[in-house]
Amino acid sequence: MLGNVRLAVQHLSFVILMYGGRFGVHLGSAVPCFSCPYVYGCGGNCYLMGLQGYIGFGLTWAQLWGYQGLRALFWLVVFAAAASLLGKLWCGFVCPFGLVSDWLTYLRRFLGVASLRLSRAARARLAPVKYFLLAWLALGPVLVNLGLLHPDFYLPFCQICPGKSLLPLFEGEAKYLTLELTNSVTLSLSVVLMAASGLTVAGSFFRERLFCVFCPMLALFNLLRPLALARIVKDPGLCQGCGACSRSCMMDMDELWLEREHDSGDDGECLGCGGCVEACSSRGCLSLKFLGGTVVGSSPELARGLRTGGGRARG
Amino acid sequence: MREDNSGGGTRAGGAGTVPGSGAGSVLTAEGRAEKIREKAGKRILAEWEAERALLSARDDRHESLDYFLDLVKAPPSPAEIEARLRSRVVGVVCLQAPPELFLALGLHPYRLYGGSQNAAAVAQPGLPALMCPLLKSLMGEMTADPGTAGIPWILPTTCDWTSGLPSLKDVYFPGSGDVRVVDLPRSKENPVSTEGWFLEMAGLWKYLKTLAGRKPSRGGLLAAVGTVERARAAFGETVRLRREGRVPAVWFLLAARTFFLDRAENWTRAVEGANKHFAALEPRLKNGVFLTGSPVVYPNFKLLHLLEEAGLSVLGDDLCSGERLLFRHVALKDKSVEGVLRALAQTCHDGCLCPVFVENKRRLGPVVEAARECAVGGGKTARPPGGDKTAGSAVRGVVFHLLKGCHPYEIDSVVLERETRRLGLRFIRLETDYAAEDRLTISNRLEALRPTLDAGD
Repeated sequence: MLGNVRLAVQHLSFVILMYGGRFGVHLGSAVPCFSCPYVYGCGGNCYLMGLQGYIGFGLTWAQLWGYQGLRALFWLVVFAAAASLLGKLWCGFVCPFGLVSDWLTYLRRFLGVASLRLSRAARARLAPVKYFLLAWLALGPVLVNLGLLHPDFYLPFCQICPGKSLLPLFEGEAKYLTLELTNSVTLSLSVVLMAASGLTVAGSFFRERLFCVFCPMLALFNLLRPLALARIVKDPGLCQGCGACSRSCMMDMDELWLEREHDSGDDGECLGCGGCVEACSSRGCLSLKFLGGTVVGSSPELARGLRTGGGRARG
Repeated sequence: MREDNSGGGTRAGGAGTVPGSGAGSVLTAEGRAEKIREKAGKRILAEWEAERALLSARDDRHESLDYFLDLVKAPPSPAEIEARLRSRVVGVVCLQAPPELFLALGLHPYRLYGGSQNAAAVAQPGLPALMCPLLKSLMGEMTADPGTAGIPWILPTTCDWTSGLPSLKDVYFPGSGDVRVVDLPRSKENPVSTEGWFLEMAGLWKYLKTLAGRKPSRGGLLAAVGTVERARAAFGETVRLRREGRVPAVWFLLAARTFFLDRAENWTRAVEGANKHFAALEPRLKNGVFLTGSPVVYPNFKLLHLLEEAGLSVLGDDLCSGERLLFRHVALKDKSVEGVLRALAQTCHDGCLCPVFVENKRRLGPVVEAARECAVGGGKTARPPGGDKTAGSAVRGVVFHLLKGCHPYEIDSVVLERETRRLGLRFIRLETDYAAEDRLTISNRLEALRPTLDAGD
């Protein structure tokens, strides 16, 4: 049931964030997910672009205390408020780029291809990449501003983000899937973008939400986690250790499964999709909470509502 | 001691170990074995019939329960099941071989455990005095019906008794069916053992394919998963009704016992029918207890009858012959063959609370969960800040059934006693075997426990 709700919300979000602008809907420049401004007529701008923009362009020390600074602060507060309100549910329920990745996963499941799992060691090795990218998108514009980096490194993350090349395809725009030959910097960045896009598409087919492993937005969420009002919480006393949560996790996390003492459920790479809550058959062991109140808790009934293999075979 | 047996190498040969087959007998070894088999069979049958008669005479018997009673008319015989279901029967010891794998290949899993006191008595000579009654009874049942030894067995290396079973089978039933040993990692919740166990499951799947002589499709495997999932759902509903105090323990465990005696689809329909009957019964939450420990297996329902006689209601259990028989749900996201095997493997390994595992810190989970599900008034159990996880629950005590010789559960009982007392629940450990002699002692202890349970309905 929760999975169906998620699917419905994801698709609705996709329509709003990808095409909302065409109907006069625009949620501003602090959307805490990949609502890509490169999509013509999008319904809101990903905060990562705003963040790079405010850091990098025209934001001098003097301007920091003027209108520009206030504007940057305003969007930062809006972003922090939005990110705190829904926490990582933005990733699991709202992100349009996440949904595109999910479509590839559905295709893989339909074809019966086994999923590639990342071992804990592999995940641990890859986890810092998202923080590196976050640092890159924050420092790059500063270096450009200081004249230490070529000006074409503006928006350094957006230039290599696969969302830039792939999401515009859904409004019929393929121009970001070409090599930018203006100079060696643009060429290099576009080559990286092509490679990242190709790897994202191929990798997301074999491994659910592959890009999220590297996503700097997730790194930002992790930094803001103490403020999150929506949380996934575990009661370790009720856990029977069956591993259903781990198997259902988009990110192959096993921390939640192995947790025996604390109630933290959405650490690290959790995307807040609620898959673990839905998969767990121990009543009340896992729950999605908002402001401390349970929105949905695990139960055998909720778990059985999942579509199992028998669903197809029944017909 | 085992006697010299000229019939060695035949199934009947082992039966010559049974007392009463003295050297001065005029019968041949084969004839003597046949006679012993016949006698053992009669004694075991009498016990099954007596328990069935007891259940049939109950006030809460209903026509929807006749299906289960019909399946226990007589001790099950693999040959009879094979003929009735027209599926090859494969014996399974313990719960670590998922039924889905068998059903996907057109095989029928048949759980190997004995609950008959007479069977245990028949098998007794030569076997260790303090052998697990469950397996001793199984050995006795094989004496009466060597067909059980003749079918292929799947044997996960759970406890020491189970691990030693193939050797005993070789001694008493030489040349009988294959035993496929599935090496169970005793350590849980670590990626190495999880991966090792998955490889064992993959090996088992390959072995079963050889047995079945056919190549299964992914659709077939998913269909089997669906079949068992529907059984889980029906059984899960019975569990829910049980939490409301509507399902007497004898009927619950009888239904569980019969899962391996018929097609899963038929069993599921019967359970669904029985659920309708249970839903109409008056709830009995007074003196609610949670039953745990060694398995209680039909026809040895001694403990269940004594609990009822003492006025205690069993509102939940975590016996491997009870609620643990069918795990509530197997989460299955990756529907490739490998994904299904991984899901089944992990559920029946990491999700298993058998005390043979080294780490069993989740052991208390089902007790707390049942206590919360049995909230008096049907609402959510209030959880005071002090952390009393069982406050407001109809489950007021834990009855620990310990079969003599069951060392893992003996250790488990010490840990569980401390933990359950910390939860504010009463705890009683009843060490027994299949013999009827200790009925009075157990009865007295349960009578003494009852007044200490303070929850009402």
